[in-house]
Amino acid sequence: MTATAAPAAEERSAPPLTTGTARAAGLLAGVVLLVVAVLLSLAVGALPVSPAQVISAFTDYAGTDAHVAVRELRLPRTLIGIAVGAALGVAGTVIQGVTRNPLADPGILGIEAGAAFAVVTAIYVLGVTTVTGYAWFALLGAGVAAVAVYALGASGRAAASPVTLALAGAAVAALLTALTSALALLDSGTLDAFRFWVVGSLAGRDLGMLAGAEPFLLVGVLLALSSTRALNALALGEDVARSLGQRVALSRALAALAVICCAGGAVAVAGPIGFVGLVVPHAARALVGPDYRWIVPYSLLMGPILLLVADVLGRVLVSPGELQVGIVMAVIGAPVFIWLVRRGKLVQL
Amino acid sequence: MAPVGEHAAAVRAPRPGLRALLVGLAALLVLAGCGGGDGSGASAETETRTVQSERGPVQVPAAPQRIAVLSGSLAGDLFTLEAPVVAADPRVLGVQADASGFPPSWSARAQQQGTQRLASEGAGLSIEQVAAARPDLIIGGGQGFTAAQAANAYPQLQEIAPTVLLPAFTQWQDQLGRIAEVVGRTDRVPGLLQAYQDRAAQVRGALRLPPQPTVFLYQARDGKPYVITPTAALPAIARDLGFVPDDVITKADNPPLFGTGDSFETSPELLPRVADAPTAIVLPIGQIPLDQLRTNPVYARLPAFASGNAYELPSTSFRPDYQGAMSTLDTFGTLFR
Repeated sequence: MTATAAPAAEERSAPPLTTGTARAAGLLAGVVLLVVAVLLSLAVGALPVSPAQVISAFTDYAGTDAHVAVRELRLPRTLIGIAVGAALGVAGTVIQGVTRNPLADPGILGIEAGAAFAVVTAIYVLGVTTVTGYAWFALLGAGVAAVAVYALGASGRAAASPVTLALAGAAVAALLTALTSALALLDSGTLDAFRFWVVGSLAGRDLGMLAGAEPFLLVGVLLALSSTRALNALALGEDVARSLGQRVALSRALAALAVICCAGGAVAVAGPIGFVGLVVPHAARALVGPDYRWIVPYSLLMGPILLLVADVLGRVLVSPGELQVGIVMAVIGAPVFIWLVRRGKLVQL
Repeated sequence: MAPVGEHAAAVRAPRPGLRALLVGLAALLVLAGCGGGDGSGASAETETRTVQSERGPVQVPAAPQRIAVLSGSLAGDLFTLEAPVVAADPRVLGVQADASGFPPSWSARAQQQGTQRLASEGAGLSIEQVAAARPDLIIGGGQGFTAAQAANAYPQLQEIAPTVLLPAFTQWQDQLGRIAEVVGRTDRVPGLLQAYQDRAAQVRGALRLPPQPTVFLYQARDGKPYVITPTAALPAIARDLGFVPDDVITKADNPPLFGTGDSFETSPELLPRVADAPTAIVLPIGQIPLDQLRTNPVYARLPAFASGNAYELPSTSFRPDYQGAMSTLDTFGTLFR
């Protein structure tokens, strides 16, 4: 049934990659593009570094300015960009699938609002001042908010449906955002610290924090990859999914857990970065159609490509200063999204 | 139409009872004025001077008796000039208030004067609280957020008392001079400047100067390095002590300057070029202390850090008022003994 349903949806949107071979080739092209993005991220920055110096920074480290820039500054942010981009892309894809809402992003589960509230509380009440210190509170806040949203969404007569989830998410996010503003505005010192966290960035983040969040990101991505069949079934509607033998409530809960792990881990490492989770699933769907067995791996590649390119742009645009990737994503994410909508490639969910 | 006309007539001519009351009050005021001691105090209260504000010339009392200051960074100089401050905003960037709610550098003098602390909670400036303090002069402006608040509330503030908005000064001498002019205490400025010069000469005599030139740095909370320009307040104080501020502008290739032009952002990648001076002075403005910077591989490789010539000064030394400049001299004296 999933096999027959997928082509029917494809006719509406006519994605360019329809055969398995084409999709596999596209995936390979994605890997190549990701490698290019990684090389760009290592080679481009305020300090001019030649490709030969990039290579020698790894093969023959001599501690020159160029080597330090590549190894100590660009490598960590590249690794964080790969992990965070992949996590955000996958989280966006899965949440759009679970809620069958093309405008959904991880924020709909209250993840960013929860993380922000936890961070501002940590600054105001506990006086936490380091980025690494914020990370654990962000992760905790994201998790608690997402569980609260899910519990609230599932507390009605029916199990958590796309509509109740979206409503619960909007309500919880509105409450947490209001409380966050209240705390930040109460104390100018808190506002001063918080305004730097709230613009997501790959620079100045600790690789140790990435290591700390890595288990969450891995579990999230694995859960997402294993949920693709369930997401395909859910896309046909709850009744059809149930008749196909899907345990709808369990599938939804597992997929939501994938989103919490991915987006919670990402926001903990880099702070809130918008638009990746919204744009990437649409771009992936425009390429391969509505089959989540392909959308999720494509998102896994397209997320890091988008984020790394945006980060490189942020280094070039206002050189020798830098724009945080959160700002660049907001500026380029919106036009890209409008372009996707204009092309009519938004697949109905 | 008739009721409107009646109302207008009522506005034009007060009722007889009210008129009598007003005449009585005026007579009382005249009598009080005549009865006041030597009479010079009364004339000082009514005399005005014209001073320059960011919004053009303003008539202010020749000797203001109740000053409300809307910026913590301007308040310190008012206390230094021993001007009567009836209310003050306690916020100074990077400075934690003490138990009294005022910055430690002037909390004692504020309590001595009975200065009222203007509410700093929330984003707003309480116009009502300013009005309740019944000031005869309001001073706002200077560096930062509080200057923007005062500028926004300017129309209402003007209704309360003559309001002088000052520019964002980058040199403490300019700030002290302008504030003295506004409150009519310019006679005190030469003495204060002389005290600074004397203290500087004293510190300079006992100073063991590290290798020169010196670069002045701070790291923002988001990890971005900022370099302080050689003409800013802190390098100028250091120059008075024999330090040679490094020409970071040329080394950074004429970067766009930040805010009032006393610092600029640079990439951590370019820091080895811009901050290659043999001595570095860092400020913990972004809550990132020197010890933490030492563990950062980029900073650790800078010549000043590698040779043990990196020093930390308090954040208040960045944009000091008069007291801040004096205490910066003292800090230099203890750091470079």
